[in-house]
Amino acid sequence: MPRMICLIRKDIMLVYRYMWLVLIYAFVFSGFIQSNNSTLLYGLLPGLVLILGIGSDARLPNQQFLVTLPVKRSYLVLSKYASSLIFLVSSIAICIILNVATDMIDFGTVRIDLPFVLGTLISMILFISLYLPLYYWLGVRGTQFLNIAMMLIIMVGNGAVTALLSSDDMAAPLGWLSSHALASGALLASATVLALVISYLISVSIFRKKDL
Amino acid sequence: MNAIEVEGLGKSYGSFTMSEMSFSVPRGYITGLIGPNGAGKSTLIKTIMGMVVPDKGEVSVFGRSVGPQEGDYKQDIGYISDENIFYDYLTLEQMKRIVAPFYPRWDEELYRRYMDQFELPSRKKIKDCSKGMKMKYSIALAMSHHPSLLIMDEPTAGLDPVFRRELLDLLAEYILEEEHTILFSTHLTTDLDRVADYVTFINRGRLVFSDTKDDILESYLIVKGGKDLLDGDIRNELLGIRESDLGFEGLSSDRKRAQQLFGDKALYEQPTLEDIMYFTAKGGKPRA
Repeated sequence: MPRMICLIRKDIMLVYRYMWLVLIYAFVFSGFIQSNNSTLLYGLLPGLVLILGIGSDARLPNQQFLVTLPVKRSYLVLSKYASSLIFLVSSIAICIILNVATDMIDFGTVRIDLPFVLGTLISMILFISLYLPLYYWLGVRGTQFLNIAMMLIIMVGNGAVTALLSSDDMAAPLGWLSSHALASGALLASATVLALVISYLISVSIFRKKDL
Repeated sequence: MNAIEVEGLGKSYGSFTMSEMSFSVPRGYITGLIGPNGAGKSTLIKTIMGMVVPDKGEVSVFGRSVGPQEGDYKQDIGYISDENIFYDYLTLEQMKRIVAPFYPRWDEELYRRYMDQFELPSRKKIKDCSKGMKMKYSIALAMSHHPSLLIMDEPTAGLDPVFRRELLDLLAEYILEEEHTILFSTHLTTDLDRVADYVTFINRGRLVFSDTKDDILESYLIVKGGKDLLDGDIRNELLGIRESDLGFEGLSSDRKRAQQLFGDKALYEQPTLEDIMYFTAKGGKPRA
């Protein structure tokens, strides 16, 4: 089995114990219980899954274990990015499924707000780009504080971005972006990929020098 | 070819400094790494395993360079830590399922045999296992991918005498294979008296000696005598001295020289590795 697959499989096995917590959270904050399922669910579920997934081997002895495996340190970091993206896509998929299910029950039709889903995906990739270098830099103790700060940022940030996008001032720029959908999409995708690459390079340079 | 080559290794953190350490671990033998607590044994082993990044120097395993950007060389190493480094919320079986795919030479049958031999329950969570069980499990995992080199960091610390003896027998069996090598760090030197071929002694981050156990034991000598035998020059000849009202007891690293100096005025004793470690650590003078 290729080592990258082994490392991703390891992350999935580690996060598996939180499955019930994630499903209960997803159900409680979905349209089955809440009047509006989008903000809390899309806003927090991917962040929660990412923090649980990334933090599952944050303890120093577990980091030591990883380094004793026949794998380069840069591979360990790369696998963390790959796992994070898989967790992110999976959690957004859960959000979409719940959204579709509640819409079907409540309205009998399916409404997927694609820009909102894409916005969540991109903002969460940017979150990963910011979170992982800090995770490698701060270690397990720092990560505990980082998690609290990041959950606050997700909650506040999500509200702020939604408010900003809904404001009148944004109507013109959003109108321009929607009239140049391809160019703006390509720009956004490039910026997101660039952020991920820079983030990965920073994480590798931190983790390479770290004594465990 | 040596299994491990350490050349000019240096590392500093906090108040600890490892300076210019050079030695080798010969292939096909058991090498004991000894030294008091805080001497740098774990730092050295962690450097070999890529956990600690050295400030200077080179380490190679079977001719392959060691470092954070290297990983393949660990295919040949079975590493046994003094602490539990596994995910303690997993069961033994789940942890094995994580480890096994990384090693193409993983031998499931051998793993099962060790689990049976050590009476380890696969469904038990690691956090619910005793220290001895965790150590046995660590050995089972490390041995099941047929490593050519076993690196063990204080494996016998905290183990009961029955399993300690079992472990030493296991190592003796493992080393029967010509290509197999063991590096074994401990401060319990009686374990090495039983099994080690070579001994590497480090103290305060510096190499004191690295040689065959027999040569070390042949060259060192304990001298016992009255205090009237001691003067400034004599004291400098000894690595460490313990004095009491009744006389002195000292360690010499040069048996012939000690016998020339004291003749029949002193008593001589063959030191154990523990004696050598004690007097050297106390005296703090490296062997020339």
